[in-house]
Amino acid sequence: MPNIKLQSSDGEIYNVDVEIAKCSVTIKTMLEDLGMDEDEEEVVPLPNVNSAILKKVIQWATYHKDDPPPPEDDENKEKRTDDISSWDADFLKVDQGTLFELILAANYLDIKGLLDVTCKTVANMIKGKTPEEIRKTFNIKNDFSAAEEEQVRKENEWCEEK
Amino acid sequence: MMDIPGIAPAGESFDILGELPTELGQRILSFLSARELARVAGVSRLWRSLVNCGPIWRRHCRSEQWDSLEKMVNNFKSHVPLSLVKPGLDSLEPLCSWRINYERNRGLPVSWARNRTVRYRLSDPTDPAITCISCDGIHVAMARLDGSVTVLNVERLPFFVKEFRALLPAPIIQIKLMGDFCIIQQHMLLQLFSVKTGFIDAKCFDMGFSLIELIERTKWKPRQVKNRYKPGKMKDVFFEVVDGERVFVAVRDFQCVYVWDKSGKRVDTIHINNRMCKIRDMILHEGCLYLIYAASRSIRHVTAYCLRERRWIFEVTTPLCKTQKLLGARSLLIGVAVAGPGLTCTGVITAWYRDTGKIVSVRHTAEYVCFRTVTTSYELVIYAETTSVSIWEPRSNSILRKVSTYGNPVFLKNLAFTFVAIFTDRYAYVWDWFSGQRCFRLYAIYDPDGGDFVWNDETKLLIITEDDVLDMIGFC
Repeated sequence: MPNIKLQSSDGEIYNVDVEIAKCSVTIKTMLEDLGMDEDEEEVVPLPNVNSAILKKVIQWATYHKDDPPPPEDDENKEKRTDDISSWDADFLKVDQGTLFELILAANYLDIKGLLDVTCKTVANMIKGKTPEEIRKTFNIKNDFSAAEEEQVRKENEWCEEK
Repeated sequence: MMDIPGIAPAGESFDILGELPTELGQRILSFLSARELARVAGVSRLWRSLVNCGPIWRRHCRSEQWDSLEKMVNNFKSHVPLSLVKPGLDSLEPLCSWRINYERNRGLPVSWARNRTVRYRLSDPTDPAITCISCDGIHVAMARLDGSVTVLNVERLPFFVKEFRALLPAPIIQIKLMGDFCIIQQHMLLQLFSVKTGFIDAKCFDMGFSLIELIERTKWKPRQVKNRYKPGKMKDVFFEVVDGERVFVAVRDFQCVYVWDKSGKRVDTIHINNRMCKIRDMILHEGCLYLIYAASRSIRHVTAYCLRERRWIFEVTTPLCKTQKLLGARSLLIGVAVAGPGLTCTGVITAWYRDTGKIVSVRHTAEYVCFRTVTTSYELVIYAETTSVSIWEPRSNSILRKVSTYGNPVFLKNLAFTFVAIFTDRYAYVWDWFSGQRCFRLYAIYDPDGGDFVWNDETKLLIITEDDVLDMIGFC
């Protein structure tokens, strides 16, 4: 299998199987657009991804290299968050900063599977929590005034009724 | 990853959603249910504005689907309309309209998916009452009692296209949309608006000049004009729009039809041969204008003007009955007279060939008919009598079906070929043409005098309810 070299923002170079690298639509189109010959040992610079995150992304892509392509977003379909595989769940047992950077990297590299699973993980962190618990989880300051808070509570009171 | 200012060091918790680009934050939120979203909106200002996102709520509006007609019918029966008028604070951005629609309609059989009945409330009971509506398939325009007009895109409800005020602070009597243009009647003043840019011109149809000239000459402000005009009767001015380019205006007491282009210029005047007549109705059908005019107390004439050839093509009289209303039905022209010969209190429906004026057939109804309860579909005429609805085919002069309705329909229209919507006691029922069965009742109480009912390509029903709210109900 031919390899390509991916260079992270802090200069580290990773040798990756082309087929694995191509699960990133960004890299795939870059290779196609530039007409990079797969035999050539070109280095693809990824100035938006640091080495720690790139390593995680490559680890994820390697594990998922044989997955079928993820389905297109369907506006009518209900989105689920409880279908994260146990490998992914373990993989994403990271701190919030890493999760944040993984989302940004998945978005930049255009890896839909990784973006979905990371977004779902954050969504699961939000689910089932009261606003106060969410604020605690994400260290957010409540910046509503008393009057605003009352209005927001009124706006949302329907969600508490059964 | 470059250093991004404001990010806490790894290991600490921080506002992930707030730090991410908006579209990624909203992507995360799109995995949450509507209830979760509402809860999340209470976290902080930033989170509230992230949640306040049309596409997210639109998805929830669409995802609540109903798998059977029965389920849908039961929901119509049991639903009690929810009020959702929440005065907001200026410091918080208003809730997005899809969210409001979601909240208003949750529990209702609401879905924009095909083959479903879907209903949207296009205005609130707190808004000024709607006096008339117009829908051209793309936009719907709602005109209100206070002279304001709201234009919405039907396919992208409830996204708002434009809102503007007519010149006078008076009720709008008629409104018609023609692509990007909109024509409005207030009293005897017709006004032309562009949906994009606003006011273009206004003509005073009892004086016959342009308001722009008038303001120029007298230095009036449009709002002062209101005292100069006496309110016209509901049906004093008839207008039709051709190709989105020209407006044909007929005024009851004038013996001519004015043609007005969309820049506000009068480009033509079509004179009626009879100099003593009063115009009673005008419709546009298949490239011809058809008019009813009264030349004497007892005689009504129906006449046709071909727009392409620019000439009158025929004139017929209906000597024994007063034809009140014209309807087009493909190659036929249908005239409805409320009272028959000798005022025996039965209606007469006449069908002519639209190109020659030759009579196809005449139907004398057994009971009183009202022009509001006669409608056409293809070349069929559907009309209601006191307790029944009949489908009449003029070409064979036969009744295809007669359905008993247990009540007196006050308004009738066909929908999507298989349904007949009938309004009895101000409830709307939907009937199946073929089985003759009553399918279901729409839950609101409609105001049969409250203005127009619009059927657009026979799949959408726009209706003004008794509490002056415009409901849009889609059938597929």
